[in-house]
Amino acid sequence: MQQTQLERDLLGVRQYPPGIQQLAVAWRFTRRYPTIPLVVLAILIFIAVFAPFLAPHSTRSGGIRDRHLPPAWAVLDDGYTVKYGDMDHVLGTDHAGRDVMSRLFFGARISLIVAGIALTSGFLIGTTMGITSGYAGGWWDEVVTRIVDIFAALPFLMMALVATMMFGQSLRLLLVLMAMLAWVPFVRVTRSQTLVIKNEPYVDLARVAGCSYPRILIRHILPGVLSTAVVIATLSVGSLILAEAALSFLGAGVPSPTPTWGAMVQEGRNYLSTAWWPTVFPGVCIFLTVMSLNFTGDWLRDRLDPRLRQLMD
Amino acid sequence: MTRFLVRRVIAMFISVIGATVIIFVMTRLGPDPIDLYLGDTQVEVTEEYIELIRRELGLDKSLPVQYGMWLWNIAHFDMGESIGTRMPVSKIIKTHIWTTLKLALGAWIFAVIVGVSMGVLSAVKRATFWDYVGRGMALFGQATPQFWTGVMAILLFAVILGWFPAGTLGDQEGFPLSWKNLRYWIMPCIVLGWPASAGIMRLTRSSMLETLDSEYIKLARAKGVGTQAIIWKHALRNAVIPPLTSALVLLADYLNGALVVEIIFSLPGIGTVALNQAVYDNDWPLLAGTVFVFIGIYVGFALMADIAYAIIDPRIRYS
Repeated sequence: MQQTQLERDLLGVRQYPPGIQQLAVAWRFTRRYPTIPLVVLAILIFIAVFAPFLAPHSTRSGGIRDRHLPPAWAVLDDGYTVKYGDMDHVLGTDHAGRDVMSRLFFGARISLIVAGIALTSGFLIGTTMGITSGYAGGWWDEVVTRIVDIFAALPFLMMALVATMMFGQSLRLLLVLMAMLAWVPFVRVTRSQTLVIKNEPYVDLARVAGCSYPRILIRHILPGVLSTAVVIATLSVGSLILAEAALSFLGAGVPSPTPTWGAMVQEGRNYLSTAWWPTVFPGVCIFLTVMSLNFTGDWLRDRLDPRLRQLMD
Repeated sequence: MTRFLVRRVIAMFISVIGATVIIFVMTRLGPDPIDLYLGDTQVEVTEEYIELIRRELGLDKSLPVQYGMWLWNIAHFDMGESIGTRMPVSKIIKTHIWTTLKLALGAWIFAVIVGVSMGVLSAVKRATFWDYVGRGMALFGQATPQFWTGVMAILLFAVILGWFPAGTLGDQEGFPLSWKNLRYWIMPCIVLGWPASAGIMRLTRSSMLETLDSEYIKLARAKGVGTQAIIWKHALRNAVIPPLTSALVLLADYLNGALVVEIIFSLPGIGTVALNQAVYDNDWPLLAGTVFVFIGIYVGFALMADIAYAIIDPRIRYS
């Protein structure tokens, strides 16, 4: 947008020398849009998709000779031997001599797959139950609200652990548990949103015009709820990834040889005083991922649905 | 108000019953509790003896009947006997719940004090250094898993710096709030409380900003009320309602969420007991008992938060 000098002065847009000007524009751009988080997420998705090609080593190969090799820039002196890091294992190796970076790459895969599937199923189930219960009211609404209350009262980690003991560790069970966790916020928010929308005149008009139930729900209610649901979705991926990591940490996640970030922290913490890297790096990965997702979610919320601020903050 | 209360209490009972049914059914899908009861005895056990124990534990009856019996006993304050240790469940819970309660309470106090004060600070000093410090802490707290911050805290403060002890609770003798006893609790409480303090901080900040922007604050300013009085007397009192009501539910969440922190800091709380004795061994009376306590606490606090909200803020609809 071209501005005159007067407009620039009135808007308080400062003029900088040519080189700095571009930097200032770039700075304002990164402040206005979640550029850095989106770049982090893009890198993460890229790594997760192409993990088999990017990973320098297999996630299972290793051996006691390669145990606890330090990262490329660090030195490990445990009193017996002095080990120097090299570029072969950029982020070092864990207690079994497995390459930390390769395991991180494959761990990104598991985190994203689990969070993605849980989120999608939670989105579909939660939104469907939310808008139907909000629109229909009556006994169905009562049933849905009660079920949501029951799920909120269940101690999630305990229940997940019990389920894992009963049915055995598997990816399928993990996905079911995560989906159970994911759908609750969708129901709550879409239901209350539907309660507002269903009193709008255009919904009444649609009913007068003879629209069927499903048509009203899909064509007239759903579009009004969708932006809220998308905001809830972005805001809850972060907590889903944290929950998946916690389950993996407690041993209720994906079974063992598959690397996950949570399980890496769990394995590494026993050797913390000798080698910090197998524990620190997965945590940093979780932190970066969740923070980027939260940032993006906040931005989307402010953009699409500022009313949610009070609710989700 | 009465109608609202009655509805809420009924809903609470339905939640508790539904949740316990789910747990009860899940525990019974697993291996036969008889195996746990007999353990790895090498002695030959006769069929008659197994039948006898089965009858004694009430396992010969159908699942709904067993659940009914359990519920009946709970109503008489009897949570049954742990299969693994043959101790009354209520006694096991009683010996361990204090650790969890102390942990949760300490974390809660930390979360509320730090959350509210940082929230006020970053709202009042908006877009300054303090605001960025507060928001940075909040971002970090909400994005790091507790099992990782806990491990890192142990590495930094217990192993490298040696400021706080970890992995033990010490003697815990003498005055409970003395430094000698208190220092064992500082790290676990902060690790547990940090994510929630982030949530409280963000809530306080946004509600404080909204309040500072309102008409009556402008009026107070125009009247010439001092800045300190405006912040602490006029604004904070209104702005603190949403964070404090959400903090009530939080305390309940802690009792559930303390599990991870208890494991990392090896605290003998109810979560560790539930995990090591109940879950891994499928000791279902103990498991049902602990989960019942968890659910009861959560639901109770949720009810209290609802009531507190209705009392403090009459604008909400009683529905």
